[in-house]
Amino acid sequence: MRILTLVRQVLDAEESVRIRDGEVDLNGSKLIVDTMDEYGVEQALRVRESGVEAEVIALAVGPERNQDALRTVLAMGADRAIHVMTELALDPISLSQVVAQVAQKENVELIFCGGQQADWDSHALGAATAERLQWPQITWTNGLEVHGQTLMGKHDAEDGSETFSVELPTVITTQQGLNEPRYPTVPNIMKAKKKELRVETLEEFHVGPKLKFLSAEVQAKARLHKILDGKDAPAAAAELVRLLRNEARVIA
Amino acid sequence: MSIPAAATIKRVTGGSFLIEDLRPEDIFTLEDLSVVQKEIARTTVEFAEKQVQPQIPAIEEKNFEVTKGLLRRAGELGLMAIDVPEEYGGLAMDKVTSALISDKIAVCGSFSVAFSAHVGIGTLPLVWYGSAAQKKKYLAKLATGEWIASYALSEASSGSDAMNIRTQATLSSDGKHYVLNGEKMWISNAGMANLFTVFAKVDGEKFSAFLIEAGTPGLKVGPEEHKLGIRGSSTCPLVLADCQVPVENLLGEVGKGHHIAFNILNVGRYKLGAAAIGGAKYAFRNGIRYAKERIAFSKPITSFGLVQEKIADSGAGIFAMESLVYRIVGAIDASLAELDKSAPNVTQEIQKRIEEFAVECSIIKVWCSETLDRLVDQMLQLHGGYGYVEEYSAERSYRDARINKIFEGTNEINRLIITGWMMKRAMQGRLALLPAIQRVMDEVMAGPSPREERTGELADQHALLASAKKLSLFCAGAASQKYGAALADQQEVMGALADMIMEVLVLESTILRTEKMQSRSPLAVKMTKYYAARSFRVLETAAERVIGSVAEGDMLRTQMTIYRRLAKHDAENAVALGRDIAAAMTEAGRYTL
Amino acid sequence: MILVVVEYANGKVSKSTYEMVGCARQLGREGPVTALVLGSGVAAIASEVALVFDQVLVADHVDLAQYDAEVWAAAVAQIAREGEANTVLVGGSRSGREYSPRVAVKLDAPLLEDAISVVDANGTLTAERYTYLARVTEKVEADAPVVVATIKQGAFTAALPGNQVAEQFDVDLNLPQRRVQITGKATEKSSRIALTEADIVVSGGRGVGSAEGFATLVEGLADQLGAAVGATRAIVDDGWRPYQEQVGQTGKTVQPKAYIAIGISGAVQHLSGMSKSKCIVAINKDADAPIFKIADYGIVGDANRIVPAMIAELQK
Repeated sequence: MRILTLVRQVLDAEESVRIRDGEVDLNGSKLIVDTMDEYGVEQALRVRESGVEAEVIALAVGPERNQDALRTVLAMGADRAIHVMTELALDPISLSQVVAQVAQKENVELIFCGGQQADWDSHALGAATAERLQWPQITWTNGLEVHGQTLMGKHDAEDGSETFSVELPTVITTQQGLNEPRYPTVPNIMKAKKKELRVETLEEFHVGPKLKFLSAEVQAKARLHKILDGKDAPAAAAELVRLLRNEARVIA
Repeated sequence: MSIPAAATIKRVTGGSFLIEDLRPEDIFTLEDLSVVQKEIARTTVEFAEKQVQPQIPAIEEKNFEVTKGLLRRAGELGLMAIDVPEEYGGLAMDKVTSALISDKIAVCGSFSVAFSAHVGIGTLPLVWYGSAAQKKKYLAKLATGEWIASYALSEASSGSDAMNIRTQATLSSDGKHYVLNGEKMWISNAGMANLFTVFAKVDGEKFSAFLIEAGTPGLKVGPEEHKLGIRGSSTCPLVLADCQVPVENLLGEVGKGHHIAFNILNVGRYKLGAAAIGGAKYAFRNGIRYAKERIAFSKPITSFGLVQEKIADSGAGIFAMESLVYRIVGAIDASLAELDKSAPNVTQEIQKRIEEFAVECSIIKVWCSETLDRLVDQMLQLHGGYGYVEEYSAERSYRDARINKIFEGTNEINRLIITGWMMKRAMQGRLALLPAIQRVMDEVMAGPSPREERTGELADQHALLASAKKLSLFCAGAASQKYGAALADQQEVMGALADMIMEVLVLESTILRTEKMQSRSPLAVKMTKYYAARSFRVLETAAERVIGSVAEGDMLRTQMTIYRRLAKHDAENAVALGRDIAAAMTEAGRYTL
Repeated sequence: MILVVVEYANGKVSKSTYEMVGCARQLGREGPVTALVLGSGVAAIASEVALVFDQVLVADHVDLAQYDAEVWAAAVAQIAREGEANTVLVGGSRSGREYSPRVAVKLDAPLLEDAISVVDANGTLTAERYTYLARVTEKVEADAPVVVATIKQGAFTAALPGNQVAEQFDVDLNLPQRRVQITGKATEKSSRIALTEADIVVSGGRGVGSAEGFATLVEGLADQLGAAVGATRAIVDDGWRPYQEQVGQTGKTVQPKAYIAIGISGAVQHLSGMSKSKCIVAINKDADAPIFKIADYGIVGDANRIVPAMIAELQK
């Protein structure tokens, strides 16, 4: 079985977001593999390690720096990587066209995709990819087992969780709790150097964006920052209650 | 498998920086890291931020189970196997990688010290001097973190004068054991170690080292010290009362323990520098984040000049530390890369080559520990009163930094090493210092010479560097003329000369790194200029101190004239530079380039 | 027409449905604001929404008793196509965000996800949405004959039911086979008000010490204030609280009038789920904690002493 696992390189949540000329500027910022995608990579590796004959292929679409993210994933244990190089910002719906084409070309049966991307704050990529491939999807998956051609597991639904069963091929989007992603160990980092990282260009896929990006801004709400010293707990508590009642008027 | 540093790195001999001029392409910089090195750095950062950082409260409470668990985890990731040969379960990688790990792991002083004590002084003596049987028995366990190592040299009355230890070892009558008696003090990791490298004198005179497993009868670990900083690291005395050590646990040869004790120091010193970078970045980030949020007079305090000055000075300090440490460790790698790893005497050759860089290692140790100290002080100051209470990490960073000026050879001892080593090399004719001093003397006697015209963004800083080298040689010449071999007794002069020598190396490293970046970072250019201005002030102060103490009367006036001519330069607008640097760091919320 | 997929739960029309109508009316695009009610035994729902829509399309069918992304997407796309919809509005619920991308692909339409504002300028839609873990507000433009949008809960003013009763039409659908079998369901029921609908949320993190500490401090204060209860990811992972209470990137997004964070340090992933709250209150013993940087009010101190004192103060 071939497993495709999608990798998005995003800003580390610890980093401050900088805006330059109305756009988020990632230059010089620490970029990481999206945590939600790491769950997918980890799960793909676990499927392979569970005894299923599988090849794990990582895919990233974006500027050249994405190869750093792919190298990390190769060092985690993916077998090979594909980088579709582009400077163009694609929205999830248009990006799903690229993913679907790669999936068909590579003959994959299972796709892992992050449940939500930390840059787009979007849930759409996995579902849109499944639709293009005419595959079913399971979103917000936090437990997964492979039994032959059948996937069984658990995922979050509107209110609570559900257990499911579905046949391959399928798109799985991840949720926390699915697993604890491994770190690349030093020996595996060295092994990853020899693995294939194939570079393709977006032009080969004939895909263009469906949304036009206009602007981005950081709107931090001004906060009051009235912070009290809690050494005298009753006094601080009384003062806080007073402020919430009489100043903020949020409690009765 | 090892990764050679970039092929162009020049094979320099130790101390030559004072008399030779290198080109940017001759030095290694952080920007030259290989893909693998970057990946390993990333893994280390992940480990430090996601696993070590959340455990800081537990670590600081001396919960050694937590520390041991984290060391074990680091071992599983391969972070403790870098300097260990492959046949013993190690990875045998380059020193830059090993320094990078020390740097990135240093988010918590206590943990960083536990880690360093294990992989450095704890493991390396065994790597270098262990017999095949000893290595087979212990190394793999140390490389995986299954066992923790500790190094026991210091005693209550022997610290900097390490050869003066009193612990005794006597061969038992049946020839099967050495019996050790004595007390060790300030032993890092003692409270959680499984294997100790203990120094003792056989028959009261032959300085030797022994491997002692925890639990060996007669070996007792004393109570934890209550320390100013690195409170979560284990530091205990060790009592040896008729401790029977099997003869096969003698490390190296009887009477040759001093090789072990001294050669290990150089590695410890550059790793200390690397860890200082990590500790500095952590404190810097927390300081800036606080300052960005702290409002005074209705503005974030980062908008005030005197706050910006502290941020700029600290940021430029980190940049300079990085330039210095990775240049030297890269040069060590370039030197080691030439070695035939399969040669039988390769470990001796490795030590010999590292020993070549003894003066640079001492400079790293002193300069980085003092720069870190100034930085944590400035970051604490940004917090105002909040910096003085335990609720903020600034207080812990401040306390934790202090030990770096004490261990791995006090900064005083290291200053004496810096000047003494250079002078000794010069006397032995192994470093062409004397001809260089002569050339400077000839030049100044010939009267004012036209300035060498340079172009480029850092032309002024190159001129400062050239002046710094000449001034250092001039002062060294003046001091040795006055005192001859007795200069070694003039510790204050030796210290001032060491200050000058250090600034030359750091300034050069900073300038060359920035030039190697080829204007990719305007911020690097600004930090180089900013640091150069400060560096030259340090140098001038030291030079006046030397001249003032070695000359008087007409001689003093002549030397001061020469000094003024050599030191002539225009002032840089450090205020404007500082504001720009601070603005960039503040926006990023951390150290950035 | 503007097609709105009606959201309802437990036999009640959800607030998000009225917010979508509000959004549709304010957009003022061509054609009637049309409800699509999908389900089985949904006559009451259809009648209820008839008071607020221009027309109501009802697909009441036993095959629609249980939600399925592929089935829902096929139904919505079919109606949108047949009715030549220029806009398809879907709620920002978990299921809405799950099937709406499929609708967009089927209609070859752009998708505006989680919009907090939408404006029509000469046929081109401009939307604002949060990105980068809700730290950035991004503006995007969709220029296409039909646009699919999901809207953020609470971002639009809900339309009020009027006296006019819209006409209802039954629709026939070509539904695909379900391929995902749901083999079990576990719903967590809470006697408290729902997280996303509460005016006050009291939330706890590792700083409360233990599951018992959470019960005493967080639930204690919440009960006193009639508030909903939230939790950080760390303690959900630790099993102290159910996932349904998790606030943050991988949990729920809330914007109550007051958010009281107890023993929460404030990782960005958590902040992304609550940073838009109107008033933020933090109680934490670590003064360095990032939560204080976005707090309006706060106390640096031990929650175990401060929260009981607050409860006592409120009882006075």
